[in-house]
Amino acid sequence: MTALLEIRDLVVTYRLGFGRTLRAVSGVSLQLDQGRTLALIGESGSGKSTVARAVCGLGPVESGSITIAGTDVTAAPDRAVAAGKIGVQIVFQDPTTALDPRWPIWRSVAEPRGRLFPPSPDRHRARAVALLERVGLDAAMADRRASQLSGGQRQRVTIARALSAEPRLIILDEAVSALDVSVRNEVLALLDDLKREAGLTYLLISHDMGAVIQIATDVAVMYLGQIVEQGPAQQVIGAPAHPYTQALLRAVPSLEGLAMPARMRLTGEIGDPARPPSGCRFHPRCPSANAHCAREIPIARPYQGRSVACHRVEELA
Amino acid sequence: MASAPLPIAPRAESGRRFGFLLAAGFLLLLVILALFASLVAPYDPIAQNLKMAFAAPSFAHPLGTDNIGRDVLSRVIWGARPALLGVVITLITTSLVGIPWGLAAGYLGGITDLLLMRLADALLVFPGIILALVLTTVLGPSLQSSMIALGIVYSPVLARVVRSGVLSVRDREYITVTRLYGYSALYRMWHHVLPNALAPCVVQLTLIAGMSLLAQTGLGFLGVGLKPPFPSWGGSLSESFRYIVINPSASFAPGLTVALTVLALYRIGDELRDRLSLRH
Repeated sequence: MTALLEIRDLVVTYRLGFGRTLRAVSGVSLQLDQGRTLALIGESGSGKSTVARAVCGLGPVESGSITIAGTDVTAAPDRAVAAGKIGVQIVFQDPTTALDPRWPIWRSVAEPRGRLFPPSPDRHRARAVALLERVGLDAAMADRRASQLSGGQRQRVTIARALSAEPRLIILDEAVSALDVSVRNEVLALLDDLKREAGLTYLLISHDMGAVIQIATDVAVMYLGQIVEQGPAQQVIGAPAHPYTQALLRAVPSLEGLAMPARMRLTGEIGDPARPPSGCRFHPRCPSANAHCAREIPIARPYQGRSVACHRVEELA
Repeated sequence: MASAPLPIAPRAESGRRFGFLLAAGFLLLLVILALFASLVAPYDPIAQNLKMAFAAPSFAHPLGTDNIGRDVLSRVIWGARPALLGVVITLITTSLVGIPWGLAAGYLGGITDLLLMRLADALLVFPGIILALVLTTVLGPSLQSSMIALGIVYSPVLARVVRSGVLSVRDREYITVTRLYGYSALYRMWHHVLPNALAPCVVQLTLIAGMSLLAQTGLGFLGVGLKPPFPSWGGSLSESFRYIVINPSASFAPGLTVALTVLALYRIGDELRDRLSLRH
């Protein structure tokens, strides 16, 4: 079975002006099978959102390929249009700026169908209202503006809008990060239901481990534009192998985890992607780094059912 | 302590509200008078009666008569027609020129933006009324052409406001995401960018309406626009101001009407600004 989404050697460089550049993503390869939920995790500045924007065509791509359902969208004249046609949709972090403040919400939900599935606008409304109900909103709300809804309700509207495009792959770009905890869990449960019902596949971008643990089947961990560890969620979350993954997971606040060993604590800031460190990019912050780590770039290799880019993974186990 | 400012606020609020209703009522009255001038005006506005020249306000002539015995009230009422028509022509011209101008600059950005905005700066450097005078001579002297000229003169002001509105919404996610739905840039501009960038533009239009009425009065005073026997507020002012000491009402009536109309337009602009910024 071929993957629904396959990213190969993706490189994204932003121009900062005055000839300076920033390589936000440097050589990322990912594979996402139909029906799975891949969580792309990492700190702010790791490049995970840049990958998400590149996949749906709303962000730049310098080199590499992004193949969705067998079609390389990087070759298309307009990558966003191509990705949309194949069935890629995105749900953003902030539903307030993701909905037109002047439109009644049903109209936002119906919007994707205008070009993707043309005729008969009145049936669009009926469909939109049905979708609003499906995501747990009252049909009577259909004529409200986004400003008349709560944050959680707004995010449900943007989810309904993504669904109305009849997508195969939905990118959840920090889609639940701005919601408070109880609402977040409801929305995650809804997303999980919808996935099973409509046979969806999710690419979840998150710095929120709670959300990842709840719905991810696979996890890829990014650090400074590269993937340091990826594999099934059970392995990566259950027994993290890369020192960065370990530190990231230990940083999740929990009642039991208050006293974490100093060795595991993540200190300092994520490095400057415009001037990445030599060798392993994580070595300046890694508690287990040695001289070799500072010189040699680690290559991803299989380790206990996942892939890890760390020189010392076997020794540290 | 915390409740100290409270007794003042509602009164200030109701005062503002009263001011707005007064302004709206005044403009409405003006529109009605202009539409039904032939029914409402007590006299023919161009009928001269030299025996009655310089008459003080009386029951027969509530605002008196001017230097050649024409009824001042009737002339003010008839003068509302070219005044309001002129404002409407100016606003339409300004919108037709300024909105696409600002949209293109804001949405296309880059070199297009740079060129369009430098052109706006270049036009804004000239004093409006001088530019309008020049354009009027090019377009041919008539009320319409001088109002179209004013509309062109004010369009860079509107273009700047539209451009900044466009810049503030252009990269919102509800606009960029429509690329995934297969929509064109023109669709985004028409359905999302323009309606959301238009609110500040409506406020600016009320200011332009006020400015255009002032400029129009100025042009009328200088004799550009409507030909003499026909009543216009600016024309009436230029005919009467020489006799202001012996016959003040003939100057004050059109002058005050212009001032009140401009104030009313600005007050409505204030109200629109408050209401539009409350939403969102």
